[in-house]
Amino acid sequence: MTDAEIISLVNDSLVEEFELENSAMVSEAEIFDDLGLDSLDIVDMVVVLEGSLGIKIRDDEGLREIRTLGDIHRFILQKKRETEAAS
Amino acid sequence: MKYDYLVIGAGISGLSSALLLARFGFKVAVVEQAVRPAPLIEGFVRNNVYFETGFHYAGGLEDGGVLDRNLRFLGIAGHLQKVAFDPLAYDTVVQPESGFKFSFPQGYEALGDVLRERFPTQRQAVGEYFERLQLVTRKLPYYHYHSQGALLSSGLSLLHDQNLAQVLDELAITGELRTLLQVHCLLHGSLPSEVPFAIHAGVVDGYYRSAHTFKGGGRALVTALVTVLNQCGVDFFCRHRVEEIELTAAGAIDGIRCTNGVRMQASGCLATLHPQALLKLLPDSVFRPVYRRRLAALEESPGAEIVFLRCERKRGSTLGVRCERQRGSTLGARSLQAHKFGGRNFFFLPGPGPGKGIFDLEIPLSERLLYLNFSGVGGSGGSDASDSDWEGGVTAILPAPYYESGRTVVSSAKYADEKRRTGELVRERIVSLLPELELGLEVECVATSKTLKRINASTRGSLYGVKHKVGQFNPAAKTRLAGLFLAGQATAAPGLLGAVTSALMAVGGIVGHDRVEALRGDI
Repeated sequence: MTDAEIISLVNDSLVEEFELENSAMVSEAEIFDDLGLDSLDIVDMVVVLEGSLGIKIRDDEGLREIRTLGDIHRFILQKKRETEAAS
Repeated sequence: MKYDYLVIGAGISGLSSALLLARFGFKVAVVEQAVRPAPLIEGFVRNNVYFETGFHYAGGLEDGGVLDRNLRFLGIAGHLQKVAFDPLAYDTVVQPESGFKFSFPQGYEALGDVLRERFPTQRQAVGEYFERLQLVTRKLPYYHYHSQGALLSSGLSLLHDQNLAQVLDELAITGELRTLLQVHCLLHGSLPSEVPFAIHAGVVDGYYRSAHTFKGGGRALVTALVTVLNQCGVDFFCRHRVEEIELTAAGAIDGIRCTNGVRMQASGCLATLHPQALLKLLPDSVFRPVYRRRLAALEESPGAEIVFLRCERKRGSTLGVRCERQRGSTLGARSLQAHKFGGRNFFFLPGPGPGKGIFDLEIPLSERLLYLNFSGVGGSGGSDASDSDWEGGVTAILPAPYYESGRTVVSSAKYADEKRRTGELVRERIVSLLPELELGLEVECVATSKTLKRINASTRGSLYGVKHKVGQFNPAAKTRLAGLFLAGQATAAPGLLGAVTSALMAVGGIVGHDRVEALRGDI
């Protein structure tokens, strides 16, 4: 998958599972303030992203630093690269 | 009457939650579908013998231990008399096929000594394993003082880091030693390759320190909780099955409606039922689809066949259960010594062949994992018998398939017949394993996964409800619906300690963990 395809897959998964608006899915959207997610949603977000991308996400620094949708994209692309490098 | 909080479910989690909420000044009622509180734990009496159902023994009850402190905090310790299990052999593990046998003595030091002596080539690994167990419990919430661990932040790293098998692999623990360190998986119902190491540690650490029951068994525990709840002015509504958590037009909690039409008003709910049962009480729109799917997909712990046997002395029987009691320690703790079975558990393992896992249901009942609990024998635990009386109830538990509600309807006569055959088979197996019992052991009755489904209110009839498994995200205490909190073994861990911990986590979520810890620190 290209980076663009991964980003598109992440956005589609979040739109569907969290009932978000497609138009809100811009990189600078704050996940708590703009997308309306809260800290309780983080576990479900991890479940969704793990399921759709076949990666393992743990409570590392990167996850805690996520503030915007763009942060999620960067975090996932990084994870994806680590996973591929490991395999 | 409008309550601050309605606690749904009067199991140990519900009763503990209600008690804590009352301590923090809330007006609380407990709503329970069964006839009496804590039907899983309270045991039953038949033909003058008490049988233990859901409470078999507890770890961490030594003075200052994790459970001891939490029961003091709940204010029920003074209503309970601790009875120590056999100090030298509280759990005995036997693999009949290979002749392997090992007894767990109480206390890390004693256990470490016997394990190192028995497995000299893995001496170092034993010490390292114990260190890792104790270290990881430091991260568990409400395990030590002021130990608000990672579980409260997101729970991801701690619970989804390593499973038990991975830790044993890292320490190169193999063979019979590995078998012994895995056997207590029966106490949480997840396989070594599934259970998060932190959860396994939180369960076994207490047992490695001490093993106790209470005088009067699980029933005494329930009585103590109900007594203190009554003193705190908490209301009970048994025979009330909650059908709906009612919401205001603005979507806030308004109260509950029961199947008998009774409505109760409250601004908050603390639900201790099975997470999947919770989903049916609220409109779909309350939770996100992803959360509902997550709860719906949670895997269950194993089902079980449970055989209750009456153990009694008969003329000429060699069953000698002689008790020597040591009195005088604080809280009236007593220890039982020099008897054969009273205050002991036995784990009979399936043969060592490949694939014979502890919860393997392919193995016939005659060879499957068999757990025997003698906490009620010899006047030790549940038995109210006098010190010289040898009678008591024995509980035998074997993993079994779930009860599927869709399964072909079996006539009650056929079901009764199945149970009778299970009972006889298990009795014969026990007698062949422990021949001393031959003359004094009778089957009283048999429970199945179907019974568990009813008593335990689990969706498929399992020993512990939802499983704890790496990669399976059990729900947290806090939910998206303001005022709705969850407690129960699914949110923390199984067992008495898990139930009480889940109550602390939920009430900590309501009043603030700092306030709970401050109060708990005063104990």
